[in-house]
Amino acid sequence: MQVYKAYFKIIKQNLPAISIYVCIFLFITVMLTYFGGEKTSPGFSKTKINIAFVNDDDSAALAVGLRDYLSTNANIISIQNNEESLQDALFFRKVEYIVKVPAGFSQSFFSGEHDVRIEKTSVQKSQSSVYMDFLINRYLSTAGLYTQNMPGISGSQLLGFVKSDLEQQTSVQVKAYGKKTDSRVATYYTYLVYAMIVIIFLGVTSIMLVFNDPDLRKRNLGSPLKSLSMNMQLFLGNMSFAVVVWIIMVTIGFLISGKAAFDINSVMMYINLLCFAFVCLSLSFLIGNLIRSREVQQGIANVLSLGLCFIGGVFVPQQLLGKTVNFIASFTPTYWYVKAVNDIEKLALINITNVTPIINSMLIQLGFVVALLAVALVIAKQKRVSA
Amino acid sequence: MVVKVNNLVKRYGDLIALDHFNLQVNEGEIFGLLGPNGSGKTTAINCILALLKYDKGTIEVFGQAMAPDAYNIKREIGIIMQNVAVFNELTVQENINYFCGLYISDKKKRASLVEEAIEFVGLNDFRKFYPRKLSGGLLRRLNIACGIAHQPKLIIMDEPTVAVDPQSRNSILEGIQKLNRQGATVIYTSHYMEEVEQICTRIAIMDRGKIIATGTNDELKSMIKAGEKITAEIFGLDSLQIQNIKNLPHISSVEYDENMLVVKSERGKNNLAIVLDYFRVHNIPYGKIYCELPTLNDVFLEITGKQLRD
Repeated sequence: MQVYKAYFKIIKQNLPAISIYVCIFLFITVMLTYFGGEKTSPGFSKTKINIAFVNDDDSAALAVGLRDYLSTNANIISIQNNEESLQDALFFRKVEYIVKVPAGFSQSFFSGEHDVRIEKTSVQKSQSSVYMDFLINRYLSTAGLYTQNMPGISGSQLLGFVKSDLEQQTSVQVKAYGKKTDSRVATYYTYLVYAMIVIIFLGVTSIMLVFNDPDLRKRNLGSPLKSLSMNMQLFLGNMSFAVVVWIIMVTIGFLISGKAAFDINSVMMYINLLCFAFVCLSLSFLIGNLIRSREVQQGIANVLSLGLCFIGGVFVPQQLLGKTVNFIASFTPTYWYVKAVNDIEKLALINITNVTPIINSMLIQLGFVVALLAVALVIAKQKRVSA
Repeated sequence: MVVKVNNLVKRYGDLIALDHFNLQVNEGEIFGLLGPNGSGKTTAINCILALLKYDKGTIEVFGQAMAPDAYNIKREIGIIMQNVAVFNELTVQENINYFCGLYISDKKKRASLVEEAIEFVGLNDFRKFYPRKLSGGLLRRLNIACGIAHQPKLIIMDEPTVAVDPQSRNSILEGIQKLNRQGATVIYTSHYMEEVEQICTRIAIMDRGKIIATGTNDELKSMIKAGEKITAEIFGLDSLQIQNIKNLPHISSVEYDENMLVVKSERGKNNLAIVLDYFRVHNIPYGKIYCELPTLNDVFLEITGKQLRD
């Protein structure tokens, strides 16, 4: 195990540089997790908008009832009843909607006239205006039902019935079904792809560059050490390095997950990340057998990490990428890692049907590991004797 | 026979690096492979070590065909390449231990061999140093220690003294002779003829991928017509006298420049005595006078028509 032992002595000498990579890229990942991730909440909370209510129908019961009803769903702001003040209030967004009840509105309504109108002014194309339209229509429709079916109903009776009807509430409980994992955790494991590729690639190839120095290589190849043994020892050293990087990343994941760190979803995230760490390792081992200089190493690290992240759905969600892009991406291991993260995030019920796609994604990643490693070993064997 | 190479041909496109190269190295020899830069010495060594594919020919080491997977043969070979091949991340002792460990798995035996190697190259005071802290000469010694720590039967040294100061060079050459006395067969490539003359028991001269002459130092020199070169400091020699010296027996050329007379003779006996007699008979006073025997450069010059250092 001479090569394996030497590997760690060499990595010890490269530790300052590797530590810098680890700190910088993990810092970026954690920052992206907290400040760049998804911020939507599965819950619901009611909000009120500001409106102005202008009543030109004096103290007619229907107008007062409508005002009271709207006040439960919006903040009624007092504004001088003149055209200029109202327009200014709307322009400066002091209010988003102005309701104007014209004189004689209640009388017309009770008399059964069909074409009775309330004037409204609102911010164009705003959601709040649609909501207020809905509330006003709802109130007047309910009142209309009573006036049509109970002729002679008094104003106070009508208001009482309508108020009682509209106070009816349906209890709605919002459950985050189908989204069990904290979205921040999923964001962390998604963005981790970038850090994982860069750290493992730079670490592994830095050591490979030392062993692939032409003169050292000659001396090693001239020795009785078997080619396979040497490559396996190197791979084992690289694997140990990858596992250490994985442990560091999972430890940070622990801190982000909090109490959920030992959930089945979290455990699956760890396993998925380990599979991806091995993918990065075999890819780096393959490229490490081919490159000869630090300049090339840096260039490939940038192209590889950013390329795989963009196409695999790390920076842009897979759902937003086109079918063709996703199809091309399916030939990269990043796609399968991110897909597994997305599936684990949605996983609420553990059963064969739900878990199978996740396991399949992990197995495909391991398939990439085997394929890349096989190619790397063939190349290493071919290069044992120069042409 | 330790190494036997037959009709080795190695091409790089249109360039023939080794052109039906033949070599035989016997046990116990310090075999010198001498040739100018680009003559094919390193290519030949790389082929012998199975580090390079070749187009034609056969290579046998210790009576067995050499191949990339001939691990039992490789176990008996020590390699010291032209460039220093050590890990900058390991100390002197760790480097020697690493390379020795590729050959010797027994930890105890290895520890003792590493100690011997450190002692042998005189790096005792530098065992904890990293290579980048060592001078060029010490680095070369480390390079040698890494190649010989496992005490191989065959040591292949490819120009191990390039860019080394004279003191370290002498130390390295003495070391090679010591290794040879301890039983190792050495193949030593160089373009420094003085080194090869000094330590090699048998020498092959290479040019353009071919061996052009093989033999001991004396055998090689006896292959050529050139004899001694006599140099004398003489003032005011006229052209008639120069011509008379030229007409002396066995004299091939005479040059006179800045009061220095250089007389080149053909191989034969008493050349110096004949020239001195001439000076005495014709009352020609001389200052310094010295005589040089032919060198391997003269051998190379006479065979190829060009200087060895070209």
